Amino acid sequence: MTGLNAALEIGKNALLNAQVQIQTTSHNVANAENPNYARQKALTVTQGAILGRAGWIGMGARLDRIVQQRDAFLEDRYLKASSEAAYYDTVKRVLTAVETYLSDDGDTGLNAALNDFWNAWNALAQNPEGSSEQAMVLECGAALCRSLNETAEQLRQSRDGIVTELNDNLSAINSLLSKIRDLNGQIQRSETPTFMANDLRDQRFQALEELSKYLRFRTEEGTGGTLNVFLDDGTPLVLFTEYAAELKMTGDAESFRIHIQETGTLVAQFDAEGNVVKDGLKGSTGALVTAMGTTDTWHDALDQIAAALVTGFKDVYDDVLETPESYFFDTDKTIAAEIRLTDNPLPSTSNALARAALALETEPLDALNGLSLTQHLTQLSQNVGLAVESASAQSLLQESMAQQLNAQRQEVSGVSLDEEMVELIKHQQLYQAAAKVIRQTAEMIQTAIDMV
Amino acid sequence: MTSSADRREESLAIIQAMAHQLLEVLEEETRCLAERDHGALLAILPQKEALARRLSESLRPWAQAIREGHREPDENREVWTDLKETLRHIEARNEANGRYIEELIQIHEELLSLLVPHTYGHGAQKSLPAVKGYGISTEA
Repeated sequence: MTGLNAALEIGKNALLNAQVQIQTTSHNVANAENPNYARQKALTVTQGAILGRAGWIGMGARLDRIVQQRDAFLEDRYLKASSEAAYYDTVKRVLTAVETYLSDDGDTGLNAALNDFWNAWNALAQNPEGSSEQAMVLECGAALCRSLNETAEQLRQSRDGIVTELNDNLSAINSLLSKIRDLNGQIQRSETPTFMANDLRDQRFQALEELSKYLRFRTEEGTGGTLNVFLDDGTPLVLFTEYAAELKMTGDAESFRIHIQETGTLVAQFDAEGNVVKDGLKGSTGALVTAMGTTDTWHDALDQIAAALVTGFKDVYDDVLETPESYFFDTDKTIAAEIRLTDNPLPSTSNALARAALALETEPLDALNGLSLTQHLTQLSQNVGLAVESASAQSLLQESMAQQLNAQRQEVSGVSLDEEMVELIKHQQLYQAAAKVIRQTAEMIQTAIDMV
Repeated sequence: MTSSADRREESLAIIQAMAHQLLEVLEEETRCLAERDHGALLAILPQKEALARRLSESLRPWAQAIREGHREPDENREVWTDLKETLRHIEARNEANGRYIEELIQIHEELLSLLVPHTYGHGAQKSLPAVKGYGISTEA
């Protein structure tokens, strides 16, 4: 095809090309607000020339394909940073909530209850026969037990809350993994070696971004546009269009395991009794496992205090009263959740007993790694504060890192309305010029017909 | 005349003030890193370094004494406890900042390695063949 007909064909193709380009631009503009959308561009290439009398004559342009503006490196880094930010944010959130139970303003809380308790014993040492002093010791002892019981109960509830949140996370993860596998299937069916299923890839990236909040993973491009997803240790989560792992949790707040249902691979574990904390997930899910371990450590520290109180007072009573009728604390209840006074905590009182009891305030105890009860409680408060502060600092930095990488990613993939407007004007002018070529060519054809 | 205990107490108080100052500088460093305020970051680095060196030197005799079996100072237990706590905070904060900086460096190294292949090195290494299309892909 040469001559005027060829010019008409070239003009027609240019019109069609411009239409697709304008459609792509409007698609970009429509998705400008979607952070997971990657800008698309309709690329044209020169149409194959034909050999004419004057040599090779150009045949215009044709649409090659629609590409997305993506940077695989930045996307990968952003997903990792997003996981890290979610990890520290969750650790901070959970530990801050737990801190409220263990924090102490001096007037309320465990430290205050313990101080009041020692003060009451001090008063009793001054006046061992005083009924009000005895009543005060009993009241402060009961208050200390209540304070330990309540704090232990609040920590237990926090751990139950973490387990509930873990189950919610796993259900969201399983749903996202299935979605990614299904999108792999749709992408494989839709793509050809030349044409990419851009919008399906956007949807898959969105699912990956959501997944990155829950756990940390790495990806590998599979055949036919599929994407395989693995945990850091290489455990597969999604393979091509065939497999999406299902994460399952068994156990309770005392001991649980998270494993892959199909293979039984263990990915996270917590065991309060054996002090086992294994986190192979990271992200907010791994953070919950870590926070569970930290909360349990603090709970253990409370139990140590309770046990030291019970044992310490038992030893004092044995030493001073030799064969006491009863002890101050119930010797069968040695954990913070259960510690309580006996029915007759003060079978007899004396200055020696009060002074021996009071000595426990500052006495270094082997059960508390050489610290006194007061020091141990202070150290617990400090550990809690330090853990929260450390998580807050990490959270701030990782959030900043994720934002920084997302901004860089957006610079590459995000839609710039200014640029799209420039593109639109360019394509509009191209469309008008092509229409003019067609109109002029049609007139020339008519002239040629009229000549006959 | 100042007694030896008073001098030690005074010295401990100075160290405590120095530790608090270093912690504040580290908190400022966190802020600079998070807000990418690189100008301010460079400005506080010498101060941080000087404070850390002075603190380390001041603590050395105390650490040595404790290593040799002397007990922790009794005369001002509150100051000593606060100092130990501040040092733990300094360690945690410094570790957090350091980890962040390491990660940033790693990202930039990875980015650079995409642009510049590793062709330099000691030893009798053959130069790597040019790899076509080795760079940042802007297409999906």
